Amino acid sequence: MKQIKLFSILILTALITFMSSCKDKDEDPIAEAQTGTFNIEFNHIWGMGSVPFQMNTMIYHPKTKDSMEFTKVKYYISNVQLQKEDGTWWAEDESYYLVDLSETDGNILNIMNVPEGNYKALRFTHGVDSLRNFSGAQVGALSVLNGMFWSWNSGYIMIKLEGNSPQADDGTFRFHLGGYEEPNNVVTDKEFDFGSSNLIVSPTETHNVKVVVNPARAWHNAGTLTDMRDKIHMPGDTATMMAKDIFGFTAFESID
Amino acid sequence: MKVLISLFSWERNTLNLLGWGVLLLSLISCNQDPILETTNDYFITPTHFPERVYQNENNVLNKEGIALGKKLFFDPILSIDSTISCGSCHSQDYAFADNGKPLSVGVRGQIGIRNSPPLFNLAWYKNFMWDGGVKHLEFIPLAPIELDIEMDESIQNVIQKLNRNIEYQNDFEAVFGTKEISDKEFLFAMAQYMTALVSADSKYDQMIQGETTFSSEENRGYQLYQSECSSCHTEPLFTNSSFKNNGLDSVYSDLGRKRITLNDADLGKFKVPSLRNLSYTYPYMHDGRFVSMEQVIEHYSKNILDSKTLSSELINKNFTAQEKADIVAFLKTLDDESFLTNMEYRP
Repeated sequence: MKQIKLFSILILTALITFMSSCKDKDEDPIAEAQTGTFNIEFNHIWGMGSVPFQMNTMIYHPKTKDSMEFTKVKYYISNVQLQKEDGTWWAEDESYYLVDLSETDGNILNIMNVPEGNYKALRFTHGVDSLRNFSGAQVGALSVLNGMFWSWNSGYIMIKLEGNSPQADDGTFRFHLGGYEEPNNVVTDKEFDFGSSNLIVSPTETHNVKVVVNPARAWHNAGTLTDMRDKIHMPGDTATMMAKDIFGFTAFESID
Repeated sequence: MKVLISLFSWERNTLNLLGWGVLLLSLISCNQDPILETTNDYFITPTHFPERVYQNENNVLNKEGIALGKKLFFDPILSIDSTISCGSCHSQDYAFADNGKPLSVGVRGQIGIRNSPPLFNLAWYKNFMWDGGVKHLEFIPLAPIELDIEMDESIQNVIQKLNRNIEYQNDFEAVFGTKEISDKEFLFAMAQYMTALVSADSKYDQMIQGETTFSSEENRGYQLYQSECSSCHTEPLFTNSSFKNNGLDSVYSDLGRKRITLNDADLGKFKVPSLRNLSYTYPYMHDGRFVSMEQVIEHYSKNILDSKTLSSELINKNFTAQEKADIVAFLKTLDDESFLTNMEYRP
């Protein structure tokens, strides 16, 4: 009897040691403090008109007069930051996301482990910052398996827009836009002031910061698909213009 | 404390062992990432070389990693129809260039557009390929794998194929601690093998280290090289990794560096290749137009074509027959036979 009792204590104590032994390594100092999650939700609109942006549906471009059906819309967002009330910034570590409209909720980024507090502004980068384009093999959103990487001219494809159109000579269009070196740098930093509506981050409530993106802007200056339905190989003047036309019009909408 | 005491004082035999076993297990279980635990770098920089460019503390070279990279390098699984491996166009017998061919053959018999470059000392370069389009050593394999006229395969398929292969699953687990192979582990393994390809034991290297001396002919060639060639083909790598137009053409069928930068000032410029191992890496130039060192020297001697982007260092050098012979004698001191016979590199 004594034997069994002692044995149980022994095993129990060893097990506790076993379970707690990894704790120190995994603990993030931020995780010690109270943290919460917020979402960045990208709402896609189409032109300035009343037609909503939809995937896999023929929609009409108000400026070029082309009919377009999108089958693929993907783009990178990186380096998410929030401004505290005292003016200082919280920056997420390893902050790389791929917005992918062909996936359910692919337009919503969950930003986790954010310190509790009130925030008055949001910053992020449209695209992948230039440093990461030079950094070799990556994981997650930056894995080359996402099909967002040029192999013979190393660098991430920052925006991929593909689909069908009767105006394109073979019925399809494909635009892969990127470039992180001047003069063909499409990577754009954005900052949105929330105005009167602060973002509250707490362990108990999750809010959404809604941001508007207008894919129609890509063809605002690039013109009709009749003249150009394909831009896939690499950075260049046209790709830079198209990417900046989209990124330039990304706007803060609301917090809910 | 209680645990330790009970272990020592009570029932020496079975339970004692069991208790120590559980304790031991609890210590081992925290080693989550075996690759980060490796501190013993398998790679040694030759003493007369600069610091290498490729350094990745998350991908420290080790024997098993290099062996896995080698296995992948010689495996046609990387091509769409399993007919072509990296080794098909990069043969150790030719310092990892392609068997004397001006242009290489890809899947379905397709002919490439540029001469297959030799592979050595890659860890000292900032960019790769004749036009410098690949900007990181780990990204090198993506270009030949995905190019339609080379392997015509997607990296997604390559990773799927490897994940279906039990042998590779075990190999990757042994090196990276995971059976689930992702692009990162694949590129890391390839990078290990490519980094291990170091050529630094030619007669020149031995002379620099005081182990041998040059003949008078080789010495004259060395001096000519230093005055006429070294500003671009800089020691000890014998390239300064810049892009130059060396006057081969005045009309360009290949844009060269401009293909990457879109800059007119880069028209017809190509990466300065190393002069090491030239005896094995013929034919020469981006399109393999010259079959012998003598032809190359003849070009620099009297056939340089002028154009807007011609390298400012270059004018026809009008070498005498003696000078040409001396330069060839020196260039041959850069041949590293041990690199060709190193069994570590063999499949």
